[in-house]
Amino acid sequence: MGSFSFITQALGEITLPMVIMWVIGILLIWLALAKDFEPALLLPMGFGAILVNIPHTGVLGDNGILQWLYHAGIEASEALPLLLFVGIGAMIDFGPLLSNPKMLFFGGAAQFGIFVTVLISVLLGFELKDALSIGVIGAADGPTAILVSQKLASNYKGAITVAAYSYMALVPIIQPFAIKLVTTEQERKIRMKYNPQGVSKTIKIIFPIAVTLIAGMIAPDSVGLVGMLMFGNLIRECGKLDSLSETAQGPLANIITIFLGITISFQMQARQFLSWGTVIAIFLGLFAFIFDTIGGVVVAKLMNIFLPEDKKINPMIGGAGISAFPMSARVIQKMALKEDCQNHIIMHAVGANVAGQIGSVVAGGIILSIAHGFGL
Amino acid sequence: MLSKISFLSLMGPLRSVDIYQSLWLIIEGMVGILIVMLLIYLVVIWVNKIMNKIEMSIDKNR
Repeated sequence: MGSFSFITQALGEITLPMVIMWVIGILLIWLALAKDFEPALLLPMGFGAILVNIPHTGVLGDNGILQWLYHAGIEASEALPLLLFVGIGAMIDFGPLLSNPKMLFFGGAAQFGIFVTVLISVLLGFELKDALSIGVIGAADGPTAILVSQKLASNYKGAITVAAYSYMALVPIIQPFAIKLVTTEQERKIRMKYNPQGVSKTIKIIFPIAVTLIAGMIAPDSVGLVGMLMFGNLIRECGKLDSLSETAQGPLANIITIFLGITISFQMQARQFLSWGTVIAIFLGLFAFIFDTIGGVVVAKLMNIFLPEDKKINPMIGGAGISAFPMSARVIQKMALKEDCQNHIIMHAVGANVAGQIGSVVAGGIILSIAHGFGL
Repeated sequence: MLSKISFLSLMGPLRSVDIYQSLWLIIEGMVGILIVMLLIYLVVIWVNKIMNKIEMSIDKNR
């Protein structure tokens, strides 16, 4: 007769770091359910954090499902985040941007926080590959953060992913704070006329092709990110592939989201995740979001120096240039209405916000191109 | 000589050359993004102009 030692074998190997990760996993689940913090990603990540921190867990190891999903879906080719971009691209309507194309510049300016955070990370002594990966939290785009940190083999992949998705959910708290730091009440009350140019179907089809070519020429490493995003958008806008567009927006995006969230938790094993570097990296992500917002707002204020009185830009629009769509646009609109209940700038904010989607993936690609230049 | 200065920071050693590289990285990154956005902007403006001209000529022919 065998002993019953197998019953207590795992119990005997529970460590304090594992228990801490269980608590973190439960915290992420709580944030997802009680606070509505990006539940589609934080819930699977939280549950996965518990799965991978059980002694002798069956989800790890050569035959472990999470290990296999991680190797096949992320490590081998970053397939999961890239395929998710197809779905995201199919969901985006670039019409408000195409009718008001100068919003593109705010989509670019609002990536400033990425690079400032890279500098701060370097000053704190992080290796360059980790500094670049931490900076990409400021892209406010989960798949970009996952992809860049994976490609650069950062030591803080799990922390970067948790930070990216958590701070995206905190945009309604972070952005008003950052905007009020650099604007006056008078500036926040600036009204803007909305005179959209007509947007033809042709330009909506040419746009994704042109963006992919342009981004690919300047930063070839961005082609994966930008290309998948624009491929999804082209499926949506071509008008001939409605069923594919619906599949990309719905079932494809949902399936990838399910797998991506739980697969990322592979990086949340206690021995990898629990370190002072993780705590600092997560904290630095907050700086990235703040400086993103400040970067966009400051560019709007600089443009106002050269614009006549009746064409001035409400500088809060610059803050909408981050990639957290559509939350950032809604936050800006709410702030504008709070200052002046007649000031509707939502369409300008939406234009800047969708520009931020492009800006963030371009920024991610540029980070990768620069990293290659440094031999990373 | 300046590039040889190094000191211990919170997470590891830091050389002054790392600071210069990071500052240069900010410039490279933001200029790169600006160039991409500017090119996209110009393409959008140009295609919009062409499409408007085509639509106007179609309306005239009607």
